[in-house]
Amino acid sequence: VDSKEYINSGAIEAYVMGLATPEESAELEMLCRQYPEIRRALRECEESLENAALAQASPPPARVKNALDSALTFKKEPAAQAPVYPIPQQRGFPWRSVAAAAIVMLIASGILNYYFYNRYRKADEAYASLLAQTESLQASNKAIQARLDDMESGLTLMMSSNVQKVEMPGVGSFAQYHASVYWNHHSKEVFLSPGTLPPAPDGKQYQLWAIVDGKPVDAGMLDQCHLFCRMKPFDHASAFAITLEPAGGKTEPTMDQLYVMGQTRS
Amino acid sequence: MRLSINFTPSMHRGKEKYTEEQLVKLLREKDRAGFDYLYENYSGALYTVILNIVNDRELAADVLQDSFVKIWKQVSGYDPDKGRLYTWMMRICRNSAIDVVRSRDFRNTRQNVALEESVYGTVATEMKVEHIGIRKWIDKLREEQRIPLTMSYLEGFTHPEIAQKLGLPEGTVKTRIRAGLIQLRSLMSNSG
Repeated sequence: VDSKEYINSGAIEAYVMGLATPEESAELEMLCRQYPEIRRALRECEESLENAALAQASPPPARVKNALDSALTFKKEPAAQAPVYPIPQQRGFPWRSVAAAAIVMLIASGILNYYFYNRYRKADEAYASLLAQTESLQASNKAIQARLDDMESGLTLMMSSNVQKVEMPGVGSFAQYHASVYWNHHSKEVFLSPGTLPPAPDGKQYQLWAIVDGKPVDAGMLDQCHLFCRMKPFDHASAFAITLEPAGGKTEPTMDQLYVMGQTRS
Repeated sequence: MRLSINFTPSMHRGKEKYTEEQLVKLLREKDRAGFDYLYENYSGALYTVILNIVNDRELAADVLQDSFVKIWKQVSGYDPDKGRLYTWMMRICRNSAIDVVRSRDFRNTRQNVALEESVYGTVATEMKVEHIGIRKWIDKLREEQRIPLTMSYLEGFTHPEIAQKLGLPEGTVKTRIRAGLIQLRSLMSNSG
């Protein structure tokens, strides 16, 4: 490329005015790197156009600058331009002390929380065991009440004038034992008091007999009897007796196991 | 003869004076003082460039505002190796102005088809024009240079488009435009 010819071709002016095609622009930019004189000519042309344009400047309306001032984002003004006031050291709010106090209070609160939580847990456990105790006491109280009621009704029965107490002393080798029958003539009810009878051995049970018309009749088995037990009712009987029999009882009494026996008053 | 070295622009009136390198650095840092300096020194010249093309002071002010926003946002992409800051800004302004004229003329020609058949095929040239800036010198050129250069620089037509509209070979259009540009530069340098 003849640089002088190129400089005088108007290609530089076209480029500066923005009239060059992309290919022409690329060519000029490449030539500028190769030929310092072309680069110099480009700069001269630019300055020439710029100076002419600046000479022809016409002031735009003020609204343009105002709009731009609010539309554009500027970096913050340097801090030095803003008046700086020293932070008063003495009179400021005592943040450090307040923060320290807050931390101490927080720790104390944490310790107290732990302490009270443990206390609460122990109290809760104690309350639960008390509740269980109360329940079991109430249950045994109920059982006692029930037994008391039984005994009261039994006593009322026995105190009645219609009740005959039939003493049954020991017989033969069982002479050291005795038991009693309480027999209500009116209601025909029969209650037994085991007296001093020893506990029945395993597999054995005491059986009460009523002697009716000279013959022994089953009057019921003794089962877990403490003071009084309700037995079978009888209209009339001449005597009552107790024998030790195999569990469940028999239809005929085993005579060598006759423990006690007593006559009724007629 | 090419350049009037003694030309004194009406710039650098502010308290601060920056070199172009310093100014570009400030603009890239989004510095307010840099922007104020840029606006104070170049807004008038760029306003004239836009006014030459849009022929309407209010519209030109809008285009100038948009152009400065573009300059502000795109300054990081400006390459000092390829040309001066003003050249780069002038191209942004000219392109924005031509875009606006194109869209305005498009609306107008749709409203009034008869206007389409004017000499240059646009409405802008039919309006009363202000003889400031580059138009002042373009108007001094001979018609064979003035018409294609007006179509090219002020109306943004490409060489093939101008060649078609004028019924001339593309090479002739290019030759006449370049001859006009050389003439224009000579006129600009001599007038001051």
